[in-house]
This record gives sequence, structure tokens and C-alpha cells, in this order.
Amino acid sequence: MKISDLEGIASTVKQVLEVAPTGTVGTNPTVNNTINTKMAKPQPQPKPKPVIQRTGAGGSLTTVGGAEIARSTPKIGGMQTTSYADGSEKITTNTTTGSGLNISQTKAAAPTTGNTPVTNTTMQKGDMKTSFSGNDPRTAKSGSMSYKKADGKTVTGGY
Amino acid sequence: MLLKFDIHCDDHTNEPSYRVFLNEDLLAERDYVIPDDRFSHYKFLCDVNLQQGNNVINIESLDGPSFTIKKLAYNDKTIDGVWVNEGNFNYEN
Repeated sequence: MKISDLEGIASTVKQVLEVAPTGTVGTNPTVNNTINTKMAKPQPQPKPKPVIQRTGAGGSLTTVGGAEIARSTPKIGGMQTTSYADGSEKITTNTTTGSGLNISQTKAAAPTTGNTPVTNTTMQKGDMKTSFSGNDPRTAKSGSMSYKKADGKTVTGGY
Repeated sequence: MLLKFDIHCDDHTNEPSYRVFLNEDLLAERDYVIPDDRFSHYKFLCDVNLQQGNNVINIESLDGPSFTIKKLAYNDKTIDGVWVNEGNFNYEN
């Protein structure tokens, strides 16, 4: 055996020693992955989606997990009523004035009190829209207003 | 067993939807809220069978806003406390 052969073997051994730690590290991700999988947060259960079926009269029936939750009349002349399983009732109206202003309001009737307050009012004309709680912006608990500028961007403000 | 409590939500304009669960049983789903100066529908009332021991009320928000449970009571027995999205109480017959 020549000395040059020994040098060649020594070089190979050196390369193996340099590579070996990398190979060892290469197996660690498997261990890390296992740990990560075990420590992963449990995913929340997907929310059951409501199923909306059309009724013969043109209304709709909403069920969640097979239980009837709401039943709506067809929308006639911008008006629609929805009855809920707990006895409450929602009435939505949509009117367009002669000037082109569109007004949408939602009322809800409580089974316990019989009150039918306006829950929400939205007024829209063209690219301007305002929405507020109740039927009077002066007493509204919350509200928002948005309009679209000439450059196409929409500006929104609220409280 | 008459169970009642108030449901509050700060988001009045966007009318967020929510579901009411008692011990994982769905009691109601609503797609509107009423401003609290016109209080009525925040008052939830239902005739239910409570289980012995711990009972959990869960308000599941479908659009993001949180809901607060107040004035919890069953058969006119008041349970003191304010809970966000989920409340629990002990029932002993």
C-alpha cells in the first residue's frame, strides 16, 4: 500500500465524519414533527351549517342538524317575515323612494314582551350608504357610513 | 324548568348571527340583534330540562362579535355573574 492510498482513505473517513452529523440531524425533524403533532392544538369542530330549503309557497325553511330553526315567507313587495323556533319574529322591509333612495329596516318581535322595535336601518343611494341601529340616527347605539370616491376607493367610518 | 338570561352584544349595526346552546343542545339561532336601548330580544327564555350538577350555556357567534350573558336565572333563582360567550352554573334538585 502506498502512502498516497492512506491519504485517500483518511480523506474519505474525514468526509464521512463531516457528513455523519448532518445525517444524524436529518433524522431529528422526524422526532420534532412527532412532538409538534402531539402538541398541536385541537382543531375546533366545524360549525354545523344551516340548511335552507325552499317551501312550496316560495318561502324557505332553515334547519341546523335536522332541527327547524327558522321559517320565512316569500319576499313580496320588499317585505319578508321570518319566524324562529324560539317564538321570536323578524320583519324586514325594503322600500325605494321616488328619488331613488333605498331604505331597508329590520324589526323584531319578542315572544315574551310583544315589543316590535326597529333593530337596524340602512339607507343607500348610489355609492353612498349609511347604516345605524334602531330607526333614529340620533339615538343609535352604533352606526356606519361609507361612500365611494372618484378613484374607486371606498371610505368607511363608524362608531 | 324555566331558564332565562339576557344576551348583550355591542355590534348593533351589522346584526351578527348567533346560536344559543345548553349543554351542547342547540336551542336557538338568530340572525339579528336588538340595540339595548330597545331591550327585548336580548332576553332569552326557554323551558328546558336541566341536568344535575354543572350546566353550560354557550353563545356561539357566527360572525365574530362576542356576546355577554347576564341576569342568568332558572325558576326565578338568580345566579350572580357575567359571562362572555359561555356561562355555567350548578343545578341541584
